[in-house]
Amino acid sequence: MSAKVAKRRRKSPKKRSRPLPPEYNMLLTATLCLLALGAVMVFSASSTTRILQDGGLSDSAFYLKRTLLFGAVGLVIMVLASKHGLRVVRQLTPILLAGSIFLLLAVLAVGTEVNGATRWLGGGFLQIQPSELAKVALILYGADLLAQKPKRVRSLEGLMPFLLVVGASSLLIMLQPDMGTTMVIAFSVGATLVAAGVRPADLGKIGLVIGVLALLMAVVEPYRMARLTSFLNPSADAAGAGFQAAQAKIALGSGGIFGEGLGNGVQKAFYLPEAHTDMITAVIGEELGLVGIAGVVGLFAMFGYAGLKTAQKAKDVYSKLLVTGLTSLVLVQAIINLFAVMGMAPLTGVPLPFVSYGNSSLMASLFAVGLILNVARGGAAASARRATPTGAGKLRAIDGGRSPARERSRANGARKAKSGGGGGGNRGARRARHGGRRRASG
Amino acid sequence: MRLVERRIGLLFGGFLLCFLLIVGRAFWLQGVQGASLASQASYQQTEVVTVPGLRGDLLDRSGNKLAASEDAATIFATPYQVKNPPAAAARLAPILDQPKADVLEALTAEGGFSYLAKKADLGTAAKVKALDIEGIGQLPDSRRAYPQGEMAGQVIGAVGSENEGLTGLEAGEEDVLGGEDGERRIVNDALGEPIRLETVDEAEDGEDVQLTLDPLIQRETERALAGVGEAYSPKGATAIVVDPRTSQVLAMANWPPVNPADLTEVSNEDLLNKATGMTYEPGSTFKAFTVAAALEEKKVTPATEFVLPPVLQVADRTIEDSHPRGTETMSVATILAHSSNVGAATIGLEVGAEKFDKWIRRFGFGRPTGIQYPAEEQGLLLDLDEYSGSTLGNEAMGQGLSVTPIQMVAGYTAIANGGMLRPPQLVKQIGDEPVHEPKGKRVISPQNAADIREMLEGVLAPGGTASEVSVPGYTLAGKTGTAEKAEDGGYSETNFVASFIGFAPAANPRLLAAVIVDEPQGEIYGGSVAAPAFGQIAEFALPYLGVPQE
Repeated sequence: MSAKVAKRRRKSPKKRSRPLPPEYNMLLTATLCLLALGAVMVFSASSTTRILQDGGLSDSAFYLKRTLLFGAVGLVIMVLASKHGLRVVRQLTPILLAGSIFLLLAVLAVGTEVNGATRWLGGGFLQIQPSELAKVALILYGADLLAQKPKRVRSLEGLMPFLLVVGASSLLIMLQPDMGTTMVIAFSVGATLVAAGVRPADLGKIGLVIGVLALLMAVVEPYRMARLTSFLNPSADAAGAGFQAAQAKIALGSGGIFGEGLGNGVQKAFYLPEAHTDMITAVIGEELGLVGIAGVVGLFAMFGYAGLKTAQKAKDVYSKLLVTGLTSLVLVQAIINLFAVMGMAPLTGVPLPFVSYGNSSLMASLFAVGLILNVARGGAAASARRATPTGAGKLRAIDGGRSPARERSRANGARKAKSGGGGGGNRGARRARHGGRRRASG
Repeated sequence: MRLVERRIGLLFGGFLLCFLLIVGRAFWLQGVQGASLASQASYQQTEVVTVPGLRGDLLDRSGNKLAASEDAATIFATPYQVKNPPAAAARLAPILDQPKADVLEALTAEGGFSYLAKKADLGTAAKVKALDIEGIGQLPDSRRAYPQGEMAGQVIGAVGSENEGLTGLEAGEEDVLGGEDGERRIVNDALGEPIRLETVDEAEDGEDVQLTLDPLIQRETERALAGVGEAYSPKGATAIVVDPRTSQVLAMANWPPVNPADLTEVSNEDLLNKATGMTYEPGSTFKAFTVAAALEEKKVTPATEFVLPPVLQVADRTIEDSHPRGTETMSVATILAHSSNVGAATIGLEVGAEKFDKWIRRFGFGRPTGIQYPAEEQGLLLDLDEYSGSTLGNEAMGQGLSVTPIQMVAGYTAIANGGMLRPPQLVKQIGDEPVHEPKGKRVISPQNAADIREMLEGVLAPGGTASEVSVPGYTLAGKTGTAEKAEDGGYSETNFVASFIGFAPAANPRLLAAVIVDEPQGEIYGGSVAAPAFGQIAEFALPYLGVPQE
C-alpha cells in the first residue's frame, strides 16, 4: 500500500499527499451503517401500520421512499460540507443563527400542529423542523464565540451572551413544546462548555439552573409530570402515562438475545406509538435483539470515538469546539433516545439520529457529520487555501488552523499566563520545534 | 489547547459510560428479563383459539345424511367495547331471533366476554357481521344438523354443547365420529385485529359412519308406528325391521318421534331407543321359543296333540287362556296359532326347567345381542335355583322373564333363517372400512326352524290371533303377544304390552319385523294393535325389496 501511495504522491504532488486519517473512515462507516440500518428499520416499523391502517391500499414503502430520498439529499449535503463546509460556515454563523431564531418564532406563529405540539413549518415535501437547524446553529455560534475570545470561558459573565442566546432559543423550543430537543441542546452546549474549559464551579452553577428550570417545566405541565412520575414508578399506570415505556420494555424483552427476526416484530403494530420515529430503538430491540441494540450502541460509540478524536487532533480551538459540539449533538440525542426507550430516563420524544424517520433531523445530522468530516481532513482543506498565497504547501502540518496568528498569540498568552511551567507552554515549544524541523526539511 | 483536549477526553469517558450503562440495561432487559417480558408480550399479543375438528356424519345405507356437521359461528360480545348497547340490541335482536331484553343483558354483562348466540348458522352470522357493530365478535364453530328431521331420532341420539355424543349412536360411535380439535395461535395488533395466524395443532375431522338403515323402510316403519300411536295413544312403541338372511337392521323406529336438533322438551323416556333399551315381559311371542325347545328336545312334533283343560294349576299360579273355553285337544301348531297359555305351559313343563333354561339362553336371552349400539339392555332370566314352582309354566308363555325387542328380533331371525343366531347389524361401514358380517351360531336345526315357520303361518291364517292381517301375494308368518305388565309384585289388569313379530315370505323369509307397543289404550291385543302395523310395513317393504310374489 505504501508503495502505491508513494507512487501516487510522486505522480501528482499537488493532490492530497496524505491518506485520510482513520477517524475519517470510522465516522463515515458508522454514519453509513446507521443510515442503512435506519432505512431498513423505518421500513419494517412503518410498513406494518401503513398496511393495517388502510387495508393495504396505501403505499407500504411510503416512509422508506421518503427516507431514501431525504437520505440522498442529506448525503449530498454531507459530502459538500465535508469538502467546503468549514470554509463557509463560520462566516455564515450569524445568518444561520438569526435565521433559525426567526424560523423558531415563525413556527410559533404559523406552524403545523401535530399531536398537540407545533414543531413544523410548511407542509408535504417541504415540511421542516426549525429546531433541528437551531441545534446546529447554536453549536456553530458557541464554537465561534468561545474560540474568538478564549477569556470568556473563565467566567460566567463572559459566557453570558452565549448562555442567553441558548436560553432564548431553548425557551422558543419549549414553547412548541419540545422538551426533548431542548434537552439535546442543553446537554450538547454543556459538552461544548466542558470542552472549552469552563471551570467546574461555573459548570455546576449552570447545571443547577438548568436542572431547576427543567423541574419547573415538569411541574407546570401536567403531562410532563405524569411522564416523570410514571418513570419513577412504571407499574403504577401501565395503561396510561406509562403505556409507551411499558410497551417499549415488552418489545425489547421479547426480542431476547437474537431478536424475533427482521420484520417479525409485533409491537410495532400499534402497541408502540411512533414506532418508526422515537420508538425505533424498541423495534430494533424486538427484531434484532440484544445483538442489534449492542450493534447500534457500538456504532454510536465508534462515531463518538472518531468524532472526539478528530476534535482532539484538530489544529485550532474553533475546530475542536465545533467538532466536540456537533459530535455531542449526535451522541446526546442518541443517548437520550436510548435511555428513554430502555426506561432509564423519562420519555421526551427524541428521535435516534440517522436511524429514526425524520427528514429535518436526518439532514441536520448529516450536515453536522459533513462538518466533522471536513475537520477530520481539515488540514488538507485549510492548507490548500493557504498554499496559494504562501506557496509553502508543506507548512500545513504546522499551521492547520484558519487563523494561525491568533492561534500563536493565544499560545503565547497561555504560556505567559502559566509563566512557562504549564503544559500549554510545552506544547507551544514542541510545536515550534516541530515546525522548525519541518521548515528545515522544506 | 491541552486543557481542551483533556476535557474532550473526559467527555468521551462520559459518553462511553452512558453507552456501557445502555448495553448493561439492554442485557438486563433482553437477557435476564427477556423471558418474562416475552410472556407479557404474548399475553397481550396472542390468543389461542380452538379450531373444531369436524364431526363425522351418520349416513343411512343409501348414503343420505342422517346427522351431519355444518360450519356455524358463535357470536359473542365484548361488553365494554359496545358503545350504544340499547341501539345495538335493537339491531341484533331480530337477526338473532332473541328478545331484545336478553340481547341487551348480554351486551351490558359484567366482565369482558358474553355469549350472544352459540352455534348460530352462517346466514345469521353473516347478517350480524354486516351490521359491523364494535364489540361484537365471532368465533368459528360447527354444529350438528339433521337433514332428515325426526327420522331415526332416538337411534341417532343427541350431541352436547361441545358436539360430543350424549346418547344413541352419536355416543356409541363417538370414537369414530368425534374429530380432534386443533389449536390456532392468533397474533393481534394493539387494536385487536389479527395480523398473523399459526396452526399449533392441526384439527382432525371425524370419520363418517354408515348405518344399515334403509331410508324408505325406515320412513314406512315410522309411519306405521305413527298410526299405532294415533290409534292407541300408547306410552311408547318401537319397531325393528331386519333382513333375516343377513341380520342387517333395515329400520329401527320409536314412537313418539323426537328431533335430535331440538331436545329441550324431550323426556329421557322418549329419547330412549326402546328397540335396545326397553325391557318387557314378552308374553305369547315367546311361545315360539318354548316350542323350539320342545322340538329340539324331541318332546313334541308340530302334530303332537295335547288335551288341554280350561284352567291349569301350576303350584301357586292359575293359568288360563285369554278367551274362556272348555277342555280342548290341540296340536302344537294350534297352540301357537291360538296362542294357548295352557298349551304353552304344558309344553314347557314337558321340556323341564333345566332344558328350558338351556334353550332360552341358547337363543340369546339374558344377555346383550351384541348389536353395535350403546347401553344395550340384556333383560332378566331367573337362574335355575331361583325357580319357584310356577316359574317354568310362566316362562313357557313369556311371563316372569324380561327381554328386549332386539333380543326377540334376534331370536326370531334364527327361526326365520334356518337356525342361525347372529348379532343384529346396525353399522354397515366406518369411514371406508365395511363392518364385517357378524358370524352366527347354530341354535336349532334347519328342519325344526322350518317347522316353526310353518306353524307360525297359522297365526295369520283364519282362526289365528292375527287373522285380519294379510299382504296380497305373500304368505306371512308371525306371533302375537299380549303381555300383562308386572306391577307391584303382581300383574296389572289394565296395562299390557301388545306386540307382533313376523316375517315373510313364510317359507323363505326376506323380511322380519317386530312391533312392540307399550300400554296401548282402548285395544290391548297384539293381533289388533301391533299386527296391522307389521302388515303395513310388510306390504310396503316386500315389493320394495323386490321379493317375488308367491
